Amino acid sequence: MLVILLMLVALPVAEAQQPLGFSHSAHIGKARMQCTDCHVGATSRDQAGIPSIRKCMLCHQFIAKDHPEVVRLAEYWERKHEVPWARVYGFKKEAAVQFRHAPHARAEIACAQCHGEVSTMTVAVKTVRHTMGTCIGCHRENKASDDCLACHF
Amino acid sequence: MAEGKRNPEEDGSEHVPQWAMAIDLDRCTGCEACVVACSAENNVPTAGQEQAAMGRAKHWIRIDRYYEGEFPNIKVKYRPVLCQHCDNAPCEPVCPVYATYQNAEGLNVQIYNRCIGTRYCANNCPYTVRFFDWFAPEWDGPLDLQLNPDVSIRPAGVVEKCTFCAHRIKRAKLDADAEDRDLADGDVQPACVQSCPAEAMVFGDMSDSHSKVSKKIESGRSEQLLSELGTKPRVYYLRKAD
Amino acid sequence: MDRRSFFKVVGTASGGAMTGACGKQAQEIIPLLVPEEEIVPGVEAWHPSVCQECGAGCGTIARLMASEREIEVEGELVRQRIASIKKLEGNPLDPVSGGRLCARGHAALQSLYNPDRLQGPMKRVGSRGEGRFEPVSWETAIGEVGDALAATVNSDPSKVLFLTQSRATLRTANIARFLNSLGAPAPSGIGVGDFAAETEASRRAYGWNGIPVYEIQDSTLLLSIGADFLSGWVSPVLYSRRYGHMRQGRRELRGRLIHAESRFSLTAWNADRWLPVWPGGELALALGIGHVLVTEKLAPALAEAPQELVSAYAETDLEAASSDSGIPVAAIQEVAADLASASAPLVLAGASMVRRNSADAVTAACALNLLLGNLGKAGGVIAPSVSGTRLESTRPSSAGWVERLAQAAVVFVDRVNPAYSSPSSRDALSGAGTVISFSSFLDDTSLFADWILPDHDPLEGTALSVPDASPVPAVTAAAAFAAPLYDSRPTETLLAALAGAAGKPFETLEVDASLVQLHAELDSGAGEADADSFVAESLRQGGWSGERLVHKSAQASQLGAFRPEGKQDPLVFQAYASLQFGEGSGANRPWLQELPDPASSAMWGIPVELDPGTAEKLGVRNGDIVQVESEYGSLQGPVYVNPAGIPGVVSMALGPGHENYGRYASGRGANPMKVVGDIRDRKTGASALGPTRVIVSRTKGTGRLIQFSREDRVAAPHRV
Repeated sequence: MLVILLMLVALPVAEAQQPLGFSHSAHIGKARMQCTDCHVGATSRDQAGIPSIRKCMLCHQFIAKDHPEVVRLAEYWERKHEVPWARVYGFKKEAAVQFRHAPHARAEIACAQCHGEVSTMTVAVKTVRHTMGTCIGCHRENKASDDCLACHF
Repeated sequence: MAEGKRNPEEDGSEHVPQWAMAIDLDRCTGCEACVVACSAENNVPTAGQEQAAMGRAKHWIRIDRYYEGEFPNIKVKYRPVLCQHCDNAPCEPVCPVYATYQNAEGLNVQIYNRCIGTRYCANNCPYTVRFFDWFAPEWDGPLDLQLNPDVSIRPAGVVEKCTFCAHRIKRAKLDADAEDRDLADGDVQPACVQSCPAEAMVFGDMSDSHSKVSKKIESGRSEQLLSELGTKPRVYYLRKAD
Repeated sequence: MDRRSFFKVVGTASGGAMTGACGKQAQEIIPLLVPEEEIVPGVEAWHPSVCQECGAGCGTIARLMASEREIEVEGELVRQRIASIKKLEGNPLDPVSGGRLCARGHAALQSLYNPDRLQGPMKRVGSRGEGRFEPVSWETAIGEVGDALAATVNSDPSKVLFLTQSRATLRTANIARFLNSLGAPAPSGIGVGDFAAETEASRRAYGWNGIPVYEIQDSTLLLSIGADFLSGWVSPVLYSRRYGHMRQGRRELRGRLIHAESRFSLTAWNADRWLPVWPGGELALALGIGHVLVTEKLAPALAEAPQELVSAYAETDLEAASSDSGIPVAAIQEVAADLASASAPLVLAGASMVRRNSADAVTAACALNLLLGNLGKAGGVIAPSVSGTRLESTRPSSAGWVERLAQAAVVFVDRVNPAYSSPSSRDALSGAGTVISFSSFLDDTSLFADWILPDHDPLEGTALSVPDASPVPAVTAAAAFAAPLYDSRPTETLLAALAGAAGKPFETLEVDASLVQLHAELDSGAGEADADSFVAESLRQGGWSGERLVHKSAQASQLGAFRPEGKQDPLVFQAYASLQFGEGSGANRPWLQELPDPASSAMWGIPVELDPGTAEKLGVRNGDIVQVESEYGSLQGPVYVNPAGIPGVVSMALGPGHENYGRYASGRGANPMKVVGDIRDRKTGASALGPTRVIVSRTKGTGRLIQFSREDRVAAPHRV
């Protein structure tokens, strides 16, 4: 019970950290976009990448201009500022983990396996814990390397 | 994974490269290009004057130089010294937390997040190539814009050292994977090897008898540093010819 | 990665996949002048650039990746995405660097990202030299400087003095155009290490225009006199590559190296035999060796050598040559005999440390190659490659600039630091009319400026240069590819604005236009490509290189008379350009400050090198402080007892002693040029680095020797 309570408390906090109420479900679920449309590096590069405000404005110059969140987005655009998105997933610096997206995509690991069903979320929240156990478990299951150096360098 | 491709990590019967380096002392001029190239590549922080004065400057690769004889018949013996990636590494058994070990490809690995900073390894290394991070590194901005995102920045309290540019090895493997081919000789070049103006350094798979590094090791001039200690280094020095 | 595959990579049309210089991940070719928002996180792009740390002009490639920085915009902290440079490497397509890079080349990045860079134009508000400046707008600066310039140009344009480096670059060509439009005299090249003596000797001995290219990779015995070619002379990366080949690049054939220099430099480390020549005795040594080759009829090409030369060598007194150079007669005879018996002997001549007689010394040493029949031959010496850009002819000379400085009404200071390299020019600088500096830093000289109009960093601008030494005709070229960090302006464009404001407009020659010019002059050399694709291809590859042309001397030699001079008594002092700091400009890069000095292993400071005997007499050991005093000035610094120091010779590297040059260099150590004094090569007027007679005494002054490695002998501890 305590655990559930903590989660309930934690969720809104995570949401509140984003400067804009970006809805993944609206983009993926309704607008039928692909994850890689914005996170362009997810299958081919080290980092998935967070798009520049230019990318947002490619569409939102024209689409949903009156949506309150898009209005706020346009304010950043007017001031020539990037949106200061907060990171949802990621490793602590002290963990000294080097993660590369591309090989995982090549191994056909679905985005959702590590990031949860983001397509159904509004503001993305962390639903999968990225512990070393998570990584190693999957690596062993898929007969990928379990050498420490595979990730820590 | 695509079919027909070697994946050593998947199947023990496959070829596992054995990384080694050969340094031709007859080519090496001692110019220290490798030293700066290494710092740039590996985010090795500068210690600054005060810390350097306390012996805390870090150079993953350095030029050792010793003078022999008296003027005018004086010579200097010098060589680049980096982690020797020993097969029988004195640093490994003394680590109480297994933060340092030799992996299947012969790299002497240092896992920073495992390291608890006892410094036993640095103390036991006869080549003195391990450095303790007394402080978390700092860069006067915007010098930090130069930092290489492929290499983790070491926190305070751990030991760091040459990795044979493990991130470049990793990168080369991923590139080969993406292009569905095997690693070729010369695909992996650590930053020091890559920069060396006299082309004194060669890196590669010593288990492949056709590789450049194997040929250097077999050249008849090859020796290992402090070989009498039985450390079995993966760095081979080619004696200066006379 | 080899040249061929890199070529394939950069040759692909834009948008194609590219493998980086070291088998790095697939990347995209970044179109020229990348808008920073097109840089994608986690993706690297390699872009060709030109190293401008020295005149070697190595082609490099820069690794560009997305980064974020926080900047303040109207009082608000904002995250900005920028393309930042993570690493510099040699450009594998470049005939000079061949994909390799030296320590200073790598550290060029720490000039770009140096925390002490000036962020915009500034005007002096305090008194001269006090260092108080206030930011101004570019419009104000251009207007006011333009007015001052107009006033001078309209009354007496000869009072415009432009101080710069002596390099064959588009930058110098544009400076020349600027001065030409003003009706002002040509610029003065006052850089330390501009190789004026080598250029003069090349003309006199070989009849060539430019620094000769030495084919050391094919020689079997190399005698180098005065040129520390492995750590900074002319083109250290090219010559290190060639040295490696000379030693171990040929089957069953290992070239030998005999090196004559007045310091146990890196090249001396590498030599099979070191001739510890007394500073200033290089001329005597060259004449002595020539004497033996001529009088003992050892010289293979004696019959073809100019009679004037043969007599000059024949008339040399061998005993005097020996005592002036400090090299025993027997050693001179052995070296001459070695040269005579080698199958491919070569003499490489230079003046890493310029002397009063360097032009003569380098000429006499160069001329040894005439006795050996080495001109235009494999394993010999070949004429400087002519690029066809006409940039070569724009190299400024250095004659008479100090005298003109005192009279000047408007002084421009570009990429040189006379207040550091010629401390005696300070008085003239503080008395000069309007002083305009283009420096990116508040350095020793810009401190005296009325206006500091900061240039882009070399990595932010465009460049076109002709390398000081190249195996083939070549130019290195770079388009701008990273957005400037600050409100700086490229000097070449600014000059056009200033000339315009002064009512003497001229048009800056851009890299593209210059390449079009080259294309037109190359004629068939450019291949099938039309001008546009030639320009595009050159910029994509980082330059252009042509076919190797080997030709003998076009004109007869004009040797002139050699004036040997007697040996100065000990102690003598000499300054030298180190591999880490060069002529001193490297001192504000933390990587180079912490790079152990090859000889002493010193970091964060350069010691005074004494020989063991002198140190014993003075009763000093490593780290003790000494005072070095000459008739020109004095300095204090920590001692390093160099086991290979020539008895009676005191040496010190350039680099320390900047009064102002950012946090890493300012106030660190003492400037050796204060002791060397304002002495010059008699024939070229180039600044000499000694020898200067000194008195050394032990003192309790300040200074500190910090060494990475304290031991310099294996078995026995330090003798001193």
